[in-house]
Amino acid sequence: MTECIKLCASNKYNDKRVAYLGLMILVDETEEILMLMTNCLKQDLHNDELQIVSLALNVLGDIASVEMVRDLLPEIEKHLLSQNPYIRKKAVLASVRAVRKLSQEETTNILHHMPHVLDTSSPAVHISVTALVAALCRQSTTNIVELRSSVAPILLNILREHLLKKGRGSGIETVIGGVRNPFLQVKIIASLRLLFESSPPSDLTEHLSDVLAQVAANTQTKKVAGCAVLYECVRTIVSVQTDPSLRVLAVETCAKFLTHREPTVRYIALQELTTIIDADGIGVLTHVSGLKEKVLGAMREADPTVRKRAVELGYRIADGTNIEEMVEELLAYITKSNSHEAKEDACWKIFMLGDRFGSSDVWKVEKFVRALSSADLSMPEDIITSFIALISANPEVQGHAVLTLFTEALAPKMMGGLHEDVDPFQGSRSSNIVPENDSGSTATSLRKPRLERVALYVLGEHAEVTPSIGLDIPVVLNAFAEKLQASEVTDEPWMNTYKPEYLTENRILGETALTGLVKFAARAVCGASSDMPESNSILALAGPEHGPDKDPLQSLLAITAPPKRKANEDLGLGTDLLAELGLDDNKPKALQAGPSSALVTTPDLLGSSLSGNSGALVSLGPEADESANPIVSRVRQILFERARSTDLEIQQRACEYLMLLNDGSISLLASAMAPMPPLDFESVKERARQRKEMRTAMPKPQAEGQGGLLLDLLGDGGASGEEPLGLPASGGGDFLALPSSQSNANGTDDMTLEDIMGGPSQSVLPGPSQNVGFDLESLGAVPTVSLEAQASASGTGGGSGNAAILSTTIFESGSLHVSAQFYRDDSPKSEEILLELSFANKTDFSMSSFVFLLAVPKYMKLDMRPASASDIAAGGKASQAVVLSNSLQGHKPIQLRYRVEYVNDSTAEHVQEQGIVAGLEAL
Amino acid sequence: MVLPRTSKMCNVVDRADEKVVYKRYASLYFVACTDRDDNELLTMELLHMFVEVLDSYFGNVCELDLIFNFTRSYWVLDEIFISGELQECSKAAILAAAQASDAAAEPVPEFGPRSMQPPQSKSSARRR
Repeated sequence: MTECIKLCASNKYNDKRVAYLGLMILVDETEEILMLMTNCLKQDLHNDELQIVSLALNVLGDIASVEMVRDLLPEIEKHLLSQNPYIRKKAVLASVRAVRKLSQEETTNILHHMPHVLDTSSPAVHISVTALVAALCRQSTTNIVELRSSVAPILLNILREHLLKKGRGSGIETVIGGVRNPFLQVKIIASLRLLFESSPPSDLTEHLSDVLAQVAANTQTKKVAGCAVLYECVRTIVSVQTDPSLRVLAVETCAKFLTHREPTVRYIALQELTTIIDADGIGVLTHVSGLKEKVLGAMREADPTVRKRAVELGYRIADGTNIEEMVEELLAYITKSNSHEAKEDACWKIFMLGDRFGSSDVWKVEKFVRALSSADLSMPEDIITSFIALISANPEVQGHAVLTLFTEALAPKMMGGLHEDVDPFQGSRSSNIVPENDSGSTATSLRKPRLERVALYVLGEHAEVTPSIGLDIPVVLNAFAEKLQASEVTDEPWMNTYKPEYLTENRILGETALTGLVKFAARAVCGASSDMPESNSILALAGPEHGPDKDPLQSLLAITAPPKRKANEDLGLGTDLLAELGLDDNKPKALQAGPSSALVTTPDLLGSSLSGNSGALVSLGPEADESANPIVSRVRQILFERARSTDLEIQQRACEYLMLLNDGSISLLASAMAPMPPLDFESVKERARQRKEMRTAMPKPQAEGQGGLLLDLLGDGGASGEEPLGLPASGGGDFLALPSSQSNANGTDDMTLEDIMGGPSQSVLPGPSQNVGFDLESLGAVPTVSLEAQASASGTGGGSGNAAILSTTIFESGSLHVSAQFYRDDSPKSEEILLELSFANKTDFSMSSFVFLLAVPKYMKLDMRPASASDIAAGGKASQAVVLSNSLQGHKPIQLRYRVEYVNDSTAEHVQEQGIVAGLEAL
Repeated sequence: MVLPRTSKMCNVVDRADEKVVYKRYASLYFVACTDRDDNELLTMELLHMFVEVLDSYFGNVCELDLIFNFTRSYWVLDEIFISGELQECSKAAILAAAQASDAAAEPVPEFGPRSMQPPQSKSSARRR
């Protein structure tokens, strides 16, 4: 680079040329070294040699920094009025850069020069000027107004003359594809669009309409160049307030494009039609026949770019008549596309369309399940929640939903199991912990954790419909067992691609499956004891099936003998279990959570679980024999496997459920496992939609990751009591599990006891009401934990508090409350911290021009995303996301200074507050 | 991003807040990165024009011409675009300008192929 700088000063043109080229390629405007060139450029700009001046202007236009442009502005302006079009056009483009870099005040001269600059016959200069017009328009709206009167008429004239010049073209005139200089036409039309976009109709817009009509009439669509010009016309017609007849013309042109043989032109047509519909409503399309068919056809194209536009457009033109085809195409689109975003988007579209035009709830269920099946991990959680709400609110679709989900998610693999004549009640084959590699890899493509989760949840929640749709209980139970098994597998190669997602997904799946299973069993068992006719039929159905070959003890023996590899681990966990259960016994808190009958059995269970680990099952015998009900014994058997799970959360739950299943606690079981109250579908749906809009309006920063998701989920469950199971509960569980497992590893006694105490006593009774309370509790606990507490926790727990979420109040006054939530992704060493600021206006007046600024020390980096609003209404709120990264994480603390500025709307008073954000040491 | 696409697909690919417009000439791809609201069809025409100019400048241009004379192709490019904006739409004018500046210079010292070459034998006309 220094060589280049040296060469610049050379007198030889050739040297300069190479030097400047090198600089343009090697350097960008942020390099300090560019400053060295300013003088050199200045001299070159005053050079008599045309070539050298042009070279210097090139450099200015391409890489000049703010300071350089400012210093050299007088020279640029001088050359703007050069008689030589070659120099003038380069000066124009150099001033484009000046306009982009500098403020409006500094570039007023350029604005005033505009009419003179345009006073030439050179199309090259005209084209360059259009770029300058665009830059000026972007700089400020007052520029637009000025340019509209000064420049627009000239541009219109140029365009008109250009059209009239037919046949008189000189040698240097460019004709491409039968269109005279499409570049000039497109550029002028585009800049006219910028000028008139927001203007009221006037004489000039009428002129514009005339000219556009002329252009459209004179241009052929056969070649790409012609299409380019027409496309620009269409865009201008749509965004400028033009004649209605012109708009019809625009739509017709687009429709013509749709059948063009060039794919890019079709792509453009789709995109443009979408814009037109957004601007004018669907009515504009009525007079174009066959459009819908064409769009449906385009959705089938091989090219993802085109498909995406077609889906957008298709979504907008869908109505009651073509909904069926449209959804089919969307489903196919989900299957075909590779990108997560595209799938997610399509899921939303199906959801919205189904909601608006769907014929019946059964239909909606059908489509949802298919969408879920093909999108799976890309299916947004919000839609799943809405779907579950839909089912729970409509008893008549429950049976159908359960059956469809079962066949879609669980049945295929069950079939395989049945063909091999594996007795459902001796499903020990699937219980061997490590599946063989072959079966593992075939299952990979089939694994659909999210679909499975929904299926298992719905199955558990609406178990009472199972008999009416002819599902065998043992088969269902086996499905549960299999999914539980699958949810424990964490190291298969196929998971690597989406590893974090699959891991969380798997874990949630496991928890959902457990709860679903117990709920399912509870329905069956409790129904029987209360003599409900439905449940009797369950028993009747289930009874003969497994009566003869029932030998729970034997199957238990087969299953619980642990593989040697895991023995040590299991022993360790067994001790944990001992600690937990022992504590439960002593804790009054636990007693309060459930009737003592649940706890009487504890030693029994404890003994059995421990003996299970050591391979002897003596004490289990009586327990298994006690239960005459085969369903319960099978469930217990499945749970028992999970009681040795390496996942603390699952293990814990399994143990708790095992206790619930003891005969003495049947009544407790019934109440604990009562079905969720039906959700209000409309409100859930509405919320889902709002959240989606929020998300699209304010795209969440990537860094947020898991932490954000968890918080989101927690917030939902706690705030509304709505519970798509597994989600909020497991979210809470994660927070609980995290410190306890970490402190286990650290071996600090006090912490461990405390955490374990906290764990089981809260979730001994995972009934619905309890769950909600639990969520509220954890929700309340997390944000309100004071910074000191967090700090001390991290002190004693050996840094285990590091990954925790902190929340703090940054600023509080009578009128404004600013609070912040900190979180970071899983690794505690991560440098990046996400900060979510929320601002609450506590006054009775609105605040405008609200600005929140943060300052950080040099070793930190700060990336502030735009705030959700700059005006906050009275009592209103706004938020803003910030990404902090501390390059000296662990060595230097995070330090923040803030400043808040806003204008009090009632008094027009400018308020400013600043200070230091305190209490960040724990980060 | 561009390479796996077949000739039947359209010449535009979405890329974050920009679009990538490309054109393929035998084994050479010419790729331009444009703003979201730019006219894609026009960009295609511009790429074509660039190629035509290169063609007449080098006389039946081929990949090797671009590799060994990348400086020249950059100069030609400089005559068409400045900071991503079109400055000249007439092929003849571009050619004349390029040749005039060549004439003003002594024979250009030959630079061998270096790391700053256009990627994957693509000449990328990056617009802003």
